[in-house]
Amino acid sequence: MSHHEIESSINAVKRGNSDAFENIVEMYQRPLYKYIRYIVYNQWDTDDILQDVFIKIYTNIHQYRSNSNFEGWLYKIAYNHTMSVLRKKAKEPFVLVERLPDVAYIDEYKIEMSSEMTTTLSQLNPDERAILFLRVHEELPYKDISKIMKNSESLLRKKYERAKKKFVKIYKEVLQDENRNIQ
Amino acid sequence: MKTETFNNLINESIEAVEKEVDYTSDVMKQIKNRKHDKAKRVFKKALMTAAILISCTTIVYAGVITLQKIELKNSEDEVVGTVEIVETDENHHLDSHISREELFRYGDKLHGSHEWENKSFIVIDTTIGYPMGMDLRPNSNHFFEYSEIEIDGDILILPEQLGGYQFSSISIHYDIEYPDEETVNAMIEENDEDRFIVNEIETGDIRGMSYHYNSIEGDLSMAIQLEIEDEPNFFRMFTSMFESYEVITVSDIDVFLTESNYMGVSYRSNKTVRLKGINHFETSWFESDHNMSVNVDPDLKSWNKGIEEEIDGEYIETTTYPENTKEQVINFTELLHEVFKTNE
Repeated sequence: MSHHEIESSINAVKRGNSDAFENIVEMYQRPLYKYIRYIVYNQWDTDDILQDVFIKIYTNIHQYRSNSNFEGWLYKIAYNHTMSVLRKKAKEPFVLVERLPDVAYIDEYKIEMSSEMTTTLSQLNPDERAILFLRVHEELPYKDISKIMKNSESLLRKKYERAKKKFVKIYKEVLQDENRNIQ
Repeated sequence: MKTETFNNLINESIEAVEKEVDYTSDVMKQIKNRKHDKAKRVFKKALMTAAILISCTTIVYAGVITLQKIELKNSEDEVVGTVEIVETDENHHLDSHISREELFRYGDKLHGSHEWENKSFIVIDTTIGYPMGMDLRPNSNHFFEYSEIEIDGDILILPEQLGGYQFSSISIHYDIEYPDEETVNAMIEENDEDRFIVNEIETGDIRGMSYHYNSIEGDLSMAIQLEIEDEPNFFRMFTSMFESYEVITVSDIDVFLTESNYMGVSYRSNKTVRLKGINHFETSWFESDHNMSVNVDPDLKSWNKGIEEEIDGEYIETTTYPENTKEQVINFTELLHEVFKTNE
């Protein structure tokens, strides 16, 4: 879908044509799914969060200024909502029980990703995964990430460097452990 | 590890979570049913908040904003505070970097006078798709964010523990990780001085402790926990202390640090410093004494030291403090004095 078509859909939704929102969902559900799932690291939470995010986008779409950075705006809403859900979950008394993945989930995940990577990523926190996603995968400049994550550029640089160092350190340790087990 | 290798690993891991998904029908169904659900939700939330919300009067200002005045009652049915809510429109976008002065100007614009300054305000910025607020009482300019406040239609929902006059104790998200109280106590008991340094503070009716906490990764994390007498709020923010008292004498505190709203102060000296009227003061402490950055709100005085630059995708520290650590401390102390002098 072209930029023009996206803006047309947005404007149509703003005018009250809720059906036009379907185009927006179709267009952005995959990248947003990937983004949220990478942050929360959990299939079930991703499902819930993503649907809520789309509802938030719909209810707030009149706040979006035409022809500004729509993707950045989406990422910002997704980030805010995701972190909010995670914070709420962290306060829940039985969160550990709830978060225990079942076997099917583990299998599904293992098919997609190496065990070394799964272990490494699971030891990063959601904020660290978010910044790796935006910086490495989306290749966003710190200025844009700053708007999404509401941190100063200098702080984000530090966060990124810390996340990178942490990732490399854990990844190397995991590889070494794997090698030891093989031997 | 080379940057290219690292980037490849990250990109592969991100691609791995990609999946054919189709939320279209679920989302559209929810949108169609939203009005019905919302009515039920608002009713439920209205019941939940009945204990703290006594009245909610809506006043419309020139069609630009909606101002709601809400009186808050405690469990004794006493009015303990007033909150006014402003819904911003797209021309009044706020972000967390806004200064108190800017916010006052913003308030003047809305009200045409400065009278509102003494009221309890929560400014709700809906342009980010998420409620974000600010308590504008003279003694507080805290941002509220995230899950602390929920807005649904005309209902402001405050967590139960924030009912009454507890706005200033709303927690602000910190970038640094605190050790929780249990961990703190355990570490104190173990006397783990290598990882944990405690300084006790007692000034007037403020008492508390500052902590240095060396995280497992070797980074130095810092936290300050304070108590105000008769308000046993162990995690009371240092910044709220700033806001609550005109002049505070603090001694023997090594570092204060807050990052989410760029308020805070870093100080490393055995001398006593009188601090007054700090609004924005960003500090960063990054792994060693030789790399400390200081940013002061331009309204006070602009300082930037310890600049980090990104070169070829790598984070390079291009500016360092003088090798003589003592000198560095002295300079920093002077800087603090100079900044505070401008406010006296």
